[in-house]
Amino acid sequence: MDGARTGLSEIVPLGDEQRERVRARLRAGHGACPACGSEDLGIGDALFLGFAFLSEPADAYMVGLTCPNPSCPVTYTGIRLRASEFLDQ
Amino acid sequence: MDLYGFPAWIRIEHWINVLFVTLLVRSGVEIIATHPKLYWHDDSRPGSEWARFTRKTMPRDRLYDTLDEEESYSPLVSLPGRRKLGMGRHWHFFAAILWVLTGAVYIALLFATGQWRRYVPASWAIFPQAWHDLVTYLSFRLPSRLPGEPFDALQKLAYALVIFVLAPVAILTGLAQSPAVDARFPWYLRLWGGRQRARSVHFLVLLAFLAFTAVHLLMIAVWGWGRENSLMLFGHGDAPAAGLWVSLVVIAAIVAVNAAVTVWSLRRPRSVQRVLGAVVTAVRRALLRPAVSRQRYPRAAVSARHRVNGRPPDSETYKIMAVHGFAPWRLTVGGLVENPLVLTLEDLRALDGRQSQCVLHHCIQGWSSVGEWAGLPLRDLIGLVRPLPQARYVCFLTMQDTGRDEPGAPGEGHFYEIVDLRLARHPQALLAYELNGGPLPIEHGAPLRLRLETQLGFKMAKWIHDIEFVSDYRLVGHGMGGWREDNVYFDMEVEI
Repeated sequence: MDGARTGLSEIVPLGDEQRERVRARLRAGHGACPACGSEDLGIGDALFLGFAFLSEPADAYMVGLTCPNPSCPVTYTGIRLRASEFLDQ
Repeated sequence: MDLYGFPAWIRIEHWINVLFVTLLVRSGVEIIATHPKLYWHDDSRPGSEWARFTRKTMPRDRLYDTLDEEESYSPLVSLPGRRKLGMGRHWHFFAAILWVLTGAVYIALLFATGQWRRYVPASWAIFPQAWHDLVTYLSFRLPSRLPGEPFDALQKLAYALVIFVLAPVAILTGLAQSPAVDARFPWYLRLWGGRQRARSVHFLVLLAFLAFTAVHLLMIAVWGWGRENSLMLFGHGDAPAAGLWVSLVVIAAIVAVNAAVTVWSLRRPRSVQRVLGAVVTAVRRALLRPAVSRQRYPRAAVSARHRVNGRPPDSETYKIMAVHGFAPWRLTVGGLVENPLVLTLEDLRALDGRQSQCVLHHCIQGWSSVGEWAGLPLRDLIGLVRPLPQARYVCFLTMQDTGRDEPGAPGEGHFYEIVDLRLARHPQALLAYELNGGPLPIEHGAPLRLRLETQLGFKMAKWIHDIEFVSDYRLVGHGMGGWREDNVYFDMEVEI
C-alpha cells in the first residue's frame, strides 16, 4: 500500500523528476537496503515530518523506499530529506 | 418582627455551604486552567473563543496539542493549583456531590418548615420595591426590611435568584458537559445549545456566585458584621461581639480546610485519587455508567478542524510505517483470548461490519469537536478473538512514548488505556481507521485509535498497535487503569 493510496493529508505524491532527485541522493549517499544491501530500491511518496513531529526540522520529509528483494526481511524503509533536496522550488 | 427567624438547620447549612462553595470555585478554576478559553460553538475553533485567561499564543506552522495550552494557576486561587487537573476534578466532583446533597436537604427543609416564604416573593410588587431599595443603597442609605421579614426586597430577590436559579443552572450545565449524559440524551445538550454554551454558562454562573458573594459580604458589613453573624451563628442578633469573633474563627477554619486539602493534594495525590475517587466513582457508576451513546450528529455539524490532543510517535519506525501508508504496521490482539490475532490495516478494513458514527468529542480539558469516525466495532473484534472467562478488561497499548513525545507531560513510558469489557461492547465502541471520510490522520491516531462515546477523550487511545485482554487492570503500569490515571491521577471511568 503506497502513501498516495492511503490519502493521508501529510503524504506528498512525488513525480518522476522528484523521484530522480531522490535517486541521485541515494546514489550520492550509497543508499542501499539496510537489511539485504539491495541498491535497486523503489521510491514511493514523501511524508511531511516538519508539522507533526517534535524532533524534526520544519522542512523535513521522509521518502518511502521499498526493497524489491522478495527475501529481504525489511521491505519498507525510508530516507529523510530536506525539502530543497528533492522538491521543486 | 422577624417571622422566620434563623433556625439551627439554616445556620448549619449556611456555613457548610460556604465551605463547599469555596472548594467548588477553587477546583473549578483548576479545571478551567487546563483549557483557559471559552467558546459558544462546539467545534472550539482556535481563535473563536469569546473569553481567554491565558497569554499563550500557539504556533501556526507546527502541530501543537491542547496540553500546550494549559496554564498553571496559583494554589491561592485554584485547588490544588500548579496544573493538576486530575486533583482539581476529584475535588470538584467530590464537593459537588456533597453540595448537591446539602442543597437537597436545604430545599426539602425550606418547604417542609414554611421557610420558603423568606425567599420566594409573594407578589409582583417586590420588583418595584427592589428597584427602590437599589436606589436607596446607591444613595448610601439603608432600605427598610420587608414587614415581618429578615430581608429587604432586593435581598429577598437576590437570595431567590441564587437558590432557585443560579444553583440549579450550575448543576444542570455541569451535567451538560458529561460525555455520558450528552451521548445518552443528545436532546439535553441541544437544550443548552451545545457543550461549549453549557460550559460558558457554567462559567458565567461562577461569576454570578462570586459577584453575589462580594455584595453579600459588603451588605453584612454595612448592616453590621457582628449583629448579622450573631444571627447566622446563634439565631439572634443580641451578641454582636461574639458574632464578630466566632465568625472570624469559622472563616479561619474554612480557610484552614482549603489549605489542608491543597497541601494534601500537592503532596499525596495518589491518596486523594484513591479516597475521593472511591466516593465519586460510586456515585458515577450508579448514575452515569449505564448510559449508552445514541449520538447521530448530521454531517453538516462536523468541525472544519477537529482539535488534537497528544503528539504522534516521534520514532523512525512510525515515520517509515506512515510513509508507506502503514503497510508494515501490525495489530496484535492477545492476552486472555481463545483466538489471538495479528492483523494488518488491510485486514481490518476487509472485515465485515464497518461502522461510522458522527459524534461530539468531549475532552477532559473542556474543549469539544464534532467528527465522523469509521472503523471496526470493538464488539466485532471481541467476537473474533473470543475472550476467556477470566478476561475482564481490555488494554490498548500504543506506539506513543510519552517521555519522548510529550516532554511537557509528567511521567514516562508508553501510553496505554484500559476499559472494562462491558464498556468495550458498547454499540459505539469503535476501533477507528477513518475520520470524516478519509484515512485517520497522523495527529488523530493513525493508523488506529479507539472511540468510546460515553467517555472523555483521553480514554480513547491513539496510535494503537497492541490490544491485550487481561483479568485485572491493577497488574498493568502503576495499576490505576491507564497512563493518565497512573501519572496525572485521572479517574479510570470518566463519564463526566
